[in-house]
Order: sequence, then C-alpha cells, then structure tokens
Amino acid sequence: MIHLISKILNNNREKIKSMFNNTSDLVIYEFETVSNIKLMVCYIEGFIDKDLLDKDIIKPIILNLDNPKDIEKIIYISGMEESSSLQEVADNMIYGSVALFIDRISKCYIISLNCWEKRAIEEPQAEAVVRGSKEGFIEDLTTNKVMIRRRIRNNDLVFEDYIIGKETKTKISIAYIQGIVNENILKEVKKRIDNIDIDGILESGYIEQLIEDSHISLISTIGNTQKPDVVAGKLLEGRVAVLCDNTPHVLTMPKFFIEDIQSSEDYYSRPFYATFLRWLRIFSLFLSIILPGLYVALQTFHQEMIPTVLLITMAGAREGVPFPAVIEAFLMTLILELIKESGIRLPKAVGSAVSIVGALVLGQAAVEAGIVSAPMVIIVAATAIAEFAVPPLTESIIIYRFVFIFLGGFMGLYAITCGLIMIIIHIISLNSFGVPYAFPLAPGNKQGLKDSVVRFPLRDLIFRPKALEKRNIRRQRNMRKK
Amino acid sequence: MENLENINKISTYQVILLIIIYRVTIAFTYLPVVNIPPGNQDIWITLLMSIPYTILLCVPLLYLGNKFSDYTLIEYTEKISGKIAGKVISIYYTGFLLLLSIINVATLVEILNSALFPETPTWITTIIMLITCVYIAYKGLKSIARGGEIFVPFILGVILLFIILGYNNYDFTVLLPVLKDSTFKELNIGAIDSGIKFSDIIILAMIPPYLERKEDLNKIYIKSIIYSIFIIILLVVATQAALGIEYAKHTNFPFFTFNRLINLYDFIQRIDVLSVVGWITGNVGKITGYLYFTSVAFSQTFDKNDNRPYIIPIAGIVFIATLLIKDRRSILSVGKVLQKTILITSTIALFVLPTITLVIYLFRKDKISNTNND
Amino acid sequence: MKKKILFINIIVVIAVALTGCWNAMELNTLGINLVLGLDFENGKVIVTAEIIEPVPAKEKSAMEKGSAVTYVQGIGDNIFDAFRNITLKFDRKLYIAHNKIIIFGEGFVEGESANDIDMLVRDHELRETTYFLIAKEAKAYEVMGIAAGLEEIPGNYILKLINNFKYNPKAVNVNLAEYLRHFYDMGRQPVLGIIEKKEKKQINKLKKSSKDKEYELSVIGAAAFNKHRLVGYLNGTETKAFNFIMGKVKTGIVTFPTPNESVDEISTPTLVMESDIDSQRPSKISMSTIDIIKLKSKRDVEIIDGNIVLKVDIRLRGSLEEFIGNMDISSDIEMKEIEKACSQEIKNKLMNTLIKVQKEFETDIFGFGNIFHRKYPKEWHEIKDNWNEIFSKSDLQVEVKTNVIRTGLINEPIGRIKGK
Repeated sequence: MIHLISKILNNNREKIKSMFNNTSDLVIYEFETVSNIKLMVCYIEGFIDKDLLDKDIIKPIILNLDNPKDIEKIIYISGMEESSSLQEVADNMIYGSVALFIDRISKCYIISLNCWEKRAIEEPQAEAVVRGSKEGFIEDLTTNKVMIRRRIRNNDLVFEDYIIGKETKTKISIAYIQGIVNENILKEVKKRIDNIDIDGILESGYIEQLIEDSHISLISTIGNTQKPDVVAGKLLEGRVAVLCDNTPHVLTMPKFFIEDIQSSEDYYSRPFYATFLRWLRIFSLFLSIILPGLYVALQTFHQEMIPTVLLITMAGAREGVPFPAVIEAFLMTLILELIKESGIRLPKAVGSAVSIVGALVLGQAAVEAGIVSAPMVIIVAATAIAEFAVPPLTESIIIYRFVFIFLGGFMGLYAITCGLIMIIIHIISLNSFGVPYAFPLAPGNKQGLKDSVVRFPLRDLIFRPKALEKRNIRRQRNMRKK
Repeated sequence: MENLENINKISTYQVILLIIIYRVTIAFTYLPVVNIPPGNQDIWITLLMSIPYTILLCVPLLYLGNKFSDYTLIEYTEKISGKIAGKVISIYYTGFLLLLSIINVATLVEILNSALFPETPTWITTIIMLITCVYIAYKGLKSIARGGEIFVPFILGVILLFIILGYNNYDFTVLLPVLKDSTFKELNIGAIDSGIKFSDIIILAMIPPYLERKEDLNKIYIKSIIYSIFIIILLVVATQAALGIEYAKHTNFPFFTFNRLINLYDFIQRIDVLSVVGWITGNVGKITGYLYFTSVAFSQTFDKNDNRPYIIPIAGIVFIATLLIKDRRSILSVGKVLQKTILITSTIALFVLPTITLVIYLFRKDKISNTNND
Repeated sequence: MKKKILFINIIVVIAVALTGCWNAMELNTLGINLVLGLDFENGKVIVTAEIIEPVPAKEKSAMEKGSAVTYVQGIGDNIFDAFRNITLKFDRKLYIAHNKIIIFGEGFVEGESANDIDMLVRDHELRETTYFLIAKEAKAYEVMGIAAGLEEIPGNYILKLINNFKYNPKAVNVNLAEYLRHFYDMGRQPVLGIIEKKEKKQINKLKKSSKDKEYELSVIGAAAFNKHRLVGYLNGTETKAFNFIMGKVKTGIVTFPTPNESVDEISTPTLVMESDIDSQRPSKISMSTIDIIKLKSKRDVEIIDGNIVLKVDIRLRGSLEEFIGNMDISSDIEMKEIEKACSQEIKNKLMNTLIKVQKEFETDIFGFGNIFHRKYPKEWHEIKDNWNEIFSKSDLQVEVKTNVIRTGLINEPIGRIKGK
C-alpha cells in the first residue's frame, strides 16, 4: 500500500513518525517563513550535513519564500526531486536525504544532503606494497567509485547500482568497462545478483558466497581486493567488479587460480624479479600446504628417502618424544594456528606478548622438555612463514594442510600424491562464471601463459586473457613488429 | 554461454598428451619391453620398427573412426553390424576396457605393495587408488583432459630429469654391437608384439565425438605413436645403459632400479621417491581414463544416456577382481600369463574385430549411409 | 548424489585410517644400519650389523668417541633368517635402507655367493648403491668396529676410505649394481673391493690408550671373481694397473726410476715393481713422480693369424711433481727420456698385472670379452662360453705414451745448478 502525502502537515508528520516507528534518531523540525507558510523538514540524525541544511535551505526559505510553488528558485541545492509517495520519501531518508514538506501541498521535496562520518583513505594493511598506489578502498561506496574512476577516466566505465538485502537495503554497484567486458559474463553476473534473496548484506563476503559457482569448494572462485589500482587492472582485462557499500573489499570476477600468486606490484617492477617472485609464491604455496604432511610421511614411511646424515640427526631428535610423528605434527600445527588467531584478535600490546610466549614456550621449552622434536618446530615455523607469502589463499591452505598431515600419517607419499591429484583435479574442474578457473594452465593458452607463472616484459603482453574476452582482445600494438 | 558451449569437447593437444601418457606409463613403471624378443641391446630398433606395424594394424580402426567421427567405437559397430552382432561386439569392447582397467589397477597395486608398502593389505592400496580415480572420472572427460595438461608434462619432466641426472651411470657400450646378435625374425616378432600391445589406441577409438577438431584424428594417432615410442626408447636405452642388458631383464622395475642408482655429489641422491610419485600420477590418469571409458562403453552398449551412475559399480567390479587376482599370485614377476592375455585380447580388439566390422561396412555401405541421412 | 559420494568417501577413508597404519614405522623404533657383515660358518649365515645409536644433538658433544654405534649379530639358515633372528635379540627393527657397505667374510664368497645375496637384491629396502667389500683373509665381523679416522661412525670411516679411491687408484669402488652388471656380463667378470685390518705402528702419544693394540683399516687391493667364485686378490699396485687399464684413473701419481744420463741404464725397473706401502725399497734408486692430469685408456682386441691379441693403449698427460736425479729437463731430448721411463714403468706394471690375471686367475676382469663381442660378433657367439679360457691364452700388447705438460714451480731439479 502506498502512503500518499496529504496536504495537511500534521498528518504527514504523524505518518512519517509511525513509518519510522517513533525511532529516536528521526528529527522532525517545523518552522514558519516570514510570510507565514508552514514547513517541515524530516531527516535522520547524523546522516546529513546540518550546516548546509540551516544555511542553504532553511535560511533562504524563511527569508524569501512567498509562494510555495517558487521553492525551487530559492533553494541553492543540486540534488532535489519531488515525490508524492511517503514510502519513497522514507527510502530516501535512510540514504541521507532531507524531506521537505510544505503545508497545503501534497508533495514532498527530497533534498540529498547526505554526509556522514567516514574513515580516511589509508593503505590497506593486508595488501601493503612497496611500489604503487598506497590508497585503499574505504567503507563509503561513492568514494570507492571515485577512486576507480580516477584511474580509468573513460566514459565507457560504467557503474550499475543495485539495492539488495530485503532488510538492510544495501547499495551495491557493478563496475565494468563497456566494450571490453565480455557481455556473457556480465549478463551472468547480473543474473546471479538479481537472484539474491537475502535479508541482509553486511559485507561483500555475503555476495561472494551467494553468487559463486561452487559453494562447497575450499577455494574461492571470486577475487577480492582493497586496492583500487588492482580493480582497475582487472577491469581492463575484461572482468567485472562488484562494489558493496560499507565494506572496503571489492569483488572481481571471473577469477583465475593464478591471480592468487600474482600481485599488482609484479607489473610495476622488472619482469625477471616479478617472475622470480611468482615462482617463490608457487613454491611457498606448495610448501605451506604439503610440508608438515610430507615430513610426517618421510619420517614414518619413507625413511630411505632422507639423506643418511639428516636421518641420524632426526632420529636423535626423536629419541624420547612420546607422540607419534602424526600427532606431533597435528599438535604443533594446531598450536601455530592458535598463536596466529589469538595474535590477530588481541590488542597490539598483548598480541606481542602472546607471540613471545608462543615462540619461547612452544619452541624452546617444548623441545627441551622432550615433548616435541626440534625438526618438527623448524618444519612448522617454515610452514608458517611460507603461508604468508600467498595471503589470498591462506584459508584453504590451512584446511588442506591438516588434510595432508592426516594423509601423510596414514599412507605416506601414496596418499599424499592421491590427495594432491584430487585437489589439482578439483581446481581445474572449477569454473568461474563459465570461464575455466585454471585458465592459462589447463586448458593451456600460449598467450595466457606469458602472464602466469612467469611474467613476460610488458611489451610482450599484447593480449587480454583469451578466456575472458574474445572480441576486443588487443591491449597494445605489437612493438616488435614495425 | 559461449564458453559453456563446447563442454566435454577436448582439444587435439590434450588427446595427444593423454594417449602418450597412457602408453608411457607402462614403460615408466615396469618397462616390459626389455623382455620382448630379441631381448638384447637391439630393443630400441625393435621399437622403432614397431611404428609402421602399429600404424598398419590399426588402419581398420582408424578408417572407421574417420568415417564415423560423430560416434564412438561402440555406437558405430552397432550401426554397422546390426543390433545383435553389434551388441556382442560392444560387450566385448566393454569387457576389454574393463579388463585393461583391472590389469592396470592390479599392476599399480603390485608395484606399490612390493616397492613401498609390503605390509599393507591389498585392499587398502586398491581402495585409495579407486577413490581417487572415481573422483576424477566423476568430474568428466573435460577434467581428465585438462588434468592431462598439468600432469603429463610433469611426468615427462620427471622421466627426463632422471635420464639427465643419471648421466654418470651410463655405459653406452652395452648397446653395441648393433643388429649383430639378433635375427631379422626376432626383431619383427618383437616389433609386432609391441605394436599390437598398444591397446591404448582403443581410447582413441572411443574419443572422436568429443574432439574439438575431428579432422585431426589421423594426426593425433600418428603423433601419439611416434612421440610415445621415442619416450619409451629413451627409457629403454637409459635403463639398459645404466644397468646392463641382463640385469635390466632381471629386475621387476628396471627404470626404478636405475633411478635408485642416481647419486650426484652425494647431494642429489635417494630421489627415486619422485619417480614413485610419477608412477602413481601416471597410473591414476590411466586408470581413470579406462574407468571412464568403460562406463561410457557400458552406457552406450545398453543405450543409457548418462555414464556417471555406472562409474562406481564398475570401480566395484575392478576392486573385487583386483583382490581376486592379487591375493593369488604376483602378475608382474610371473608375467607370462599377463602378457599373453593382453596380446590375445588386444589382437582381437584392435585388429580382428575392426577388420570384420570394416568388411561388413564395405559390403553394406549404401544401406548404412542411408540410415545416416535419416 | 555428489554429496553422498563425498560422504561415503570420507567414511571409507576414516574407517581405513582407524584400522591402523601397516607400514608406519616411527623413527624411534628403527635401528638404522650402516654396515653389514656377512659370514658363513658351519653351514649358517652370520649377519653382523652396525647400528647407529641415535643421540640428541646436544648430548653428542659430551660423548666418548666410538660410542655412536652398537653391534648386533644374528645367525640363521640364510640371510633373511639371520636378519629376523636379530629381532628377538635387539629391541629395534633393523633398517637397512641406509646401509652403505656390505662386508663379506672370505668364507662367504667361497661358496656360491651370487645366489646367497639374492635377498639383498630382492628386498626393496637395501639400495643398489651399497658398496661390496671382501674381508681379505678374515671374517667380516673381525674388521668391523674400527674407526681409526676422524669419523666417529666406523661405517662412515670405511665409506670415506672407499671414496678416497679418487685420490689414489689402488682400490676399487664397486657397488651392488655394478657387481651384478658384470656378473651377468658374458664378456667381463666382476671385481670387488677388499678390506683389511692392520696393526698400527706404535706412535708415541701423550695420552697412552689403555687398549693393547691400535688397528686401522685399509682398502688397498681388489678381489677378482670368476662369476661368483673368488679366484684371487690383486695387491695395490696391481689394482692401480687394473684401474689404469679400465681408464678409471682420474688423478693419481706414477712413481718411476729416474733415468740416468746414459740412456742404456734405465732397464732395471723390476726391482721397484712393488711400490706398495709395505714393500720396502731394497736399494737406493732415484725415483721421480708424475702426477696424472689426464689419462686415456683404450682396450682393443684383434685377431692376427688366428691368434687373439689383447691390446691396451694408454695416453697419459701429467705434471712433474718430484724429480730426483741429475738431468736437464729443459732439454727436449732429456724430457723425452723421462717420459719414456715413466711409460716403461707403467707398461711393466700393466704387463705384470695382465699376466697375473691371465695365468693365475684365468678370469677376464678387464672386459676384453665385450670388446671382442663388439668387434667380432659372429666369432663371439662360438667362443663366448669358454671365453675365460681363451682369454688366458691370448697374446698381450701394451703401449703407453706419456706427456709431461707441466713441471711445477721450478724447472731444473733442486740439486742441480743451472747451466752446468
């Protein structure tokens, strides 16, 4: 049912009040002009720029308004529209607009004055870089849009706004570059977002989980970032970005597996070093998943694979350790995760104390007391370090790590190999919005491989990823051909 | 969506990789060719000679594959030979694929049990293998083919790495004198023997409808034969040069034994674990392929649409059969029966039946092309 | 459906896991073995194993030397039986995957050793890179347990000795794979390394050890086989000659009598033939030494007038390391004399070794049979079954050519005044 705006101001006031259930942050202010016209402004406290309201709206109205019809000539404001539906008024008020009612006029003027407290633009801590823009997204959608548009000053950059969440009415925005984006992918993204039917979206993680292809997979097929330059780069490759209000995390889709081992800095620095870093990340990804499991497997099943001198040292270290190697590995890995988790949550001052206690007590004391063996501490520490080299994958790495410890302790390398095969097959069978997730690797693509585990010099990266875009594929002219 | 259109279509490159690895896996694991006649330093010549034989032997299969590129082997035999005869042949092929799956599983399990886990019961090793394979087979042909793109280069890389690292173990004089110790007859028998045992070509006969570019069938065929033979020759030569002719014949897993010899600067040593990982990977791929195509053959023989529901029952049969075989006798060291079975069944599957089908086709050509148009 | 399968898989895996791990062996249940000794006594096999005592790294420094290992012995009908009999005497499972060396007592190889070592090859634990050694005129367990070097573990001590082969070619390093390779070879017979226990000459030490006698090990020499039968030992010089012929010498020295000014007098080299460690030089003859830089060896077989001639052709490049004598080595002619003397010395040694192997051992450890096979494949098939017999009757021909390409930091010998 549509609440129509009545001509009587008091009626409107009561209706608005009841619509907002008499909430305490609803402000209703009635005033009279010099020429005795009664007016009323409604807004939600803290959502608007009060200064502007007083100076540029109320003051000129009180002084100059003689005829209610002339109101548009008096107010110095760009964003004003008329409405006759109270529902619409209420919808706008919750986005920070002021509703202006005039006595004896069955219309309402909605003036957009939104202004609220925002966090300053900072460098995102999780994606710190040495070279490149230090800006990170903030919680405000408009600011975020500006940050992207500042990087792509192009009229083909399109933002399409949606409001989802039946109760929260969260504003989200789909960004893409018309002419580069693959229409099919865009259509698919829109379709999936339209299908969302949930009461609330509090973070872009909600959207991610609701629109991704494989919802029980450990690996996310949608990327997220806090950095506008990264988003701009993905848009230029033909991807679609989804910005969500109230969160600095922007989603990009479709995603390839190798994106997790790439970083924006790779493109800003020299290609050789970037290639080296990518190999390093792959290696540490592999290491952080498999190292404890491999260690357990070697120690309990394949002692013949360990060099003799190392084996003798290891055997010495294991003397008197009460647990089997599997249990030892489980315990230590679990404790490592414990230290990590409590370190994140605790206040900074206490956090460092926890890490010292963790390092000292669990490393030194446990070894000296003979509860765990020294090599195991080294292995777990190496694993932890390796894990931080590939931050986007941390979540899945940890789960897989426990799986591999189990497999290694159960049937050694045989089970580990089978497990690895299954994981790799799982990864390459995934699709992200109809695009093969493991794209330049399997199915292989010669052009795509130039920017995968290696990064070719920038002037050799002529084409966009073929799986994403088939028509407008060229990024630059081939400088080698004259 | 345009990207989803060619689902279950696989590229030429992927098929070549798959066929190569299916063939090389056997050589990589237990290298049976060191025992084929003439059984001396001239085996690599035998292998080279087997190329034309393999091509000749598979002409009927290839011809039919090209003519009926929209159908699998099972489908076109039924089309050509009529309902009843077609069914019988289809059942034979299904059985053949099943037999090969069983042999592959049994072989791998035997290797694992004798080289890595002597005290573990057979059924554990078998079940782990089958779970992995069923999982992959469930993901469909596309995942198998894409997986090939990742794993095959890895396996071939492992093989190459071992061949390079073993450089100081080689004594190539064992390969001399060339062609002096073996008779022409022996060489030819060996060549035919290794040619006819290329049973993996049956996969190629099942694959045409899934191909992205059907006109590449001949190319795939020739390339996969030549590449795989060259890799096997590399394996044989390296193994013989490192172990000597006679010792290589005595070992059950000659290439593995050779890998165990590698010792560079006391630092690169004991790396045969990598070889085992390679084996397992290759065999998982191979068993998966056979399981998948057995289920396809089964579903097509009995006119079912979806092959997926049959993967698990077939894996179950393979499991039981493997246990029955494996708990009786070693099939590798007491391998005469195995080699004979493979030889006879693949001769029938790869040569005899396709020839019969081809003859029928040539006689009933007009009729069949008519039904095709309907 | 998918979920169901996943579920079933998980159940199966967990069930399997809970039933136990069959092959899992924790490190602290293993007795890591480095050296195995095999002996044959009264129809029983005696296995002696050297097992490392695992000690945490911290306590290692506080330990006494030589206590890093322990020894166990097992007696059985065959090797495996002996192995398993150890388990009831020793608290840990013998783990031979890290075994480096197998020492055969002399009694063991006198029987059909090839058949007896079947287990060592059949079992997957033992690696093919294990070195084989023969305890010369001793039991295997008699030579074990001696660590006269700096290595704490006797096994490592022996291993290092074998690896020092590259500095002094008076030994051979033959591992299991190589032994088997030659064992199966029709045209070449296996050779194995040997090990001997020797008493040390008394050295005045500040700290008198309480033990009565000090021993050390030596791996000088080699044992020649005919198939699996031990036929005799080569001493150090002969082994060196053997390695010369096989082209296995990478570095090493040749010591030869310095030729006198007159060319005719260099024909008395037989006296210094045995320049082994033990053999004393009876009279003072000036000896010089050439260090081998590169050595090429070529073996060949030829049928001349129905007679088989075995040829060895050696090219040597070396640097003059020690020169005792009175010669002008800046003169090309005299340098040639030196080179000739060196060649002659090598030639003599090679001839002696060849003759000894031919006449005494009657077994072709040099692989002339293989060369014959390659060169005359047709004839080979007729004679291959009694090749060793033919080998022992064949004619010999040895050629050596030496080039001195460096003379060290000085030119004329130190005792000679230049220009005189």
